[in-house]
Amino acid sequence: MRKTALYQVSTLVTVALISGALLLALVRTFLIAPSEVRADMGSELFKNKGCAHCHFTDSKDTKVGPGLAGLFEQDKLPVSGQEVTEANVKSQLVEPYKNMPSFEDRLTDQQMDEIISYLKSL
Amino acid sequence: MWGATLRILLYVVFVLLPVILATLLGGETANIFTALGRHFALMGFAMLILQVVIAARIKWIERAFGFDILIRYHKHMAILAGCLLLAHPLLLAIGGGGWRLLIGLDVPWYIWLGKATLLALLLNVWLSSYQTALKLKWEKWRGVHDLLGPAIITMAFIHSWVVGTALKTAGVQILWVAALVLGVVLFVYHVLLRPQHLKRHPYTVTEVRTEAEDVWTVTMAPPQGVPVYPYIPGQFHFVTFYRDRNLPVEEHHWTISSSPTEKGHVASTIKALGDFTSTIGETKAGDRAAVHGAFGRFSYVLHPEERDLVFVVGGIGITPVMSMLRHMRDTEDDLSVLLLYANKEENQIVFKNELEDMEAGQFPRIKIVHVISNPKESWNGESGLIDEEKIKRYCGEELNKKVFYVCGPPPMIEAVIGTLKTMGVPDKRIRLEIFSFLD
Repeated sequence: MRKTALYQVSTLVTVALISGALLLALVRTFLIAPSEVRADMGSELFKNKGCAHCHFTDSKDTKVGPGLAGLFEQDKLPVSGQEVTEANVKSQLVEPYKNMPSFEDRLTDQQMDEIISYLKSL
Repeated sequence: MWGATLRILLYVVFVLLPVILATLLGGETANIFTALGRHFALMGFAMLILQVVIAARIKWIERAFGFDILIRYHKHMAILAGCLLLAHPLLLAIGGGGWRLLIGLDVPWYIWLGKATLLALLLNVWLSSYQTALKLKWEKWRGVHDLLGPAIITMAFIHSWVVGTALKTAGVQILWVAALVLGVVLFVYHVLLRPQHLKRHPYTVTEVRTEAEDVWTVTMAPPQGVPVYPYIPGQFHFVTFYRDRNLPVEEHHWTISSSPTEKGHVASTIKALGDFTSTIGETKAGDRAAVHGAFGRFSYVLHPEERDLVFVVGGIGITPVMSMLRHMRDTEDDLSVLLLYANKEENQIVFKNELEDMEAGQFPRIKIVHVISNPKESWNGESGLIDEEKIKRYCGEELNKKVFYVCGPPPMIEAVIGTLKTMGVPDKRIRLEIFSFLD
């Protein structure tokens, strides 16, 4: 009967789709070697964690805080004046200079590395 | 069979395509939860686009399944897409995105847009699933559905375009834009362009005939020089009557009661069952009708090898059966047919005289048994409901050689199917039309 067949097809399609999604998720997590994609993850974090609220990434103009385009090509961080190094940028995230909120509780160490990797790509 | 399998495979491939592309082009993710969360979002969007494709009454897709089955598949997939998209933020939160994604108020606008999209989708699924229980009129539900559908797809597209990691690769971007264009084009065609085209080339009502109490046959002829659209007996069509006189203009679907052997016109026999159908008797010759047909797979001509048929019919469910019987008669098809026809009262029997003529004729070899549930004292036929005892008495013991076509009110269909299964009739020998799309 067609109604029975419909439920069978819907169930089969559901199983096929979720299995496919899970299989490819396993591939992406365990079989593909970590690569430059970390910058992509940093880009996502930059948006999701609210950094993009205050910082342009495609210019050096001030939004709320300074624009971050070409940050790692500069000698000094725009507000603190410290040398542009990964350690100093991470320090800025944990103990910010001036009005920027701390991201110590909002970002894991790995996530901070990913954001720095993204900032280096700008 | 193979046609249906091919179409289902195409569906699965299209939904998984963005995930495959994201894996090939987008590379690794930090953990399984994040990867799965992103995959569910990609698949959810692809499924939303395919919801438009499924519902757009595309003949190439419909003829493999029948529209009644297709629209239920549309409903099942809406629920699945809703579950996947509900799991999407949960998995991202578990995968390291943080619970602010779900409960935080200070999230960027595109996260709010994602939340709004999900809420709109869940609302749409809820309204569609409980339309009958909510006593929401078909036309109102359809208006809301036609607004929410495109809004959900547009919001999902913007959200995914801005925030989606996979959307940073050109391959997925191209797929996304192509999918959106497909969805928009099909939606505009289905909701605006085709109805306008059908309205500009209307059929004309040539006759409105009273068949029984509150039952009318409306016969319609195509524009001059244009043939009636092709159909097989047992199918249905969508009709919008333009009758002026302050009568409502709504699209409804009705079974075709005429046979394709009748040239130059097509007819539906309609019973007054609601606000709109109670106005059918006010339809007059000369009124216009936008007709879109034909749909459905409830037809004996799709199974020419089956020669021993039993039609189990309740009330106005006789209409597709009448179309098939007329076709058998006109094509002189020597089939063996038993018609078990249930009505509450004798005066509700539709096509009574024509059925008697058929029984007296040569084609098909038909026996007709009227079953009246609320008979007058003068009634000397079968009374009560179509039950196991009556089926056994009229069909004999060898049920497995027969094919049962069941059509009527949903409670009757459920009861008859249950009885047939109890009697050992296999699923593949029971055919039914699920005529109410939302139940």
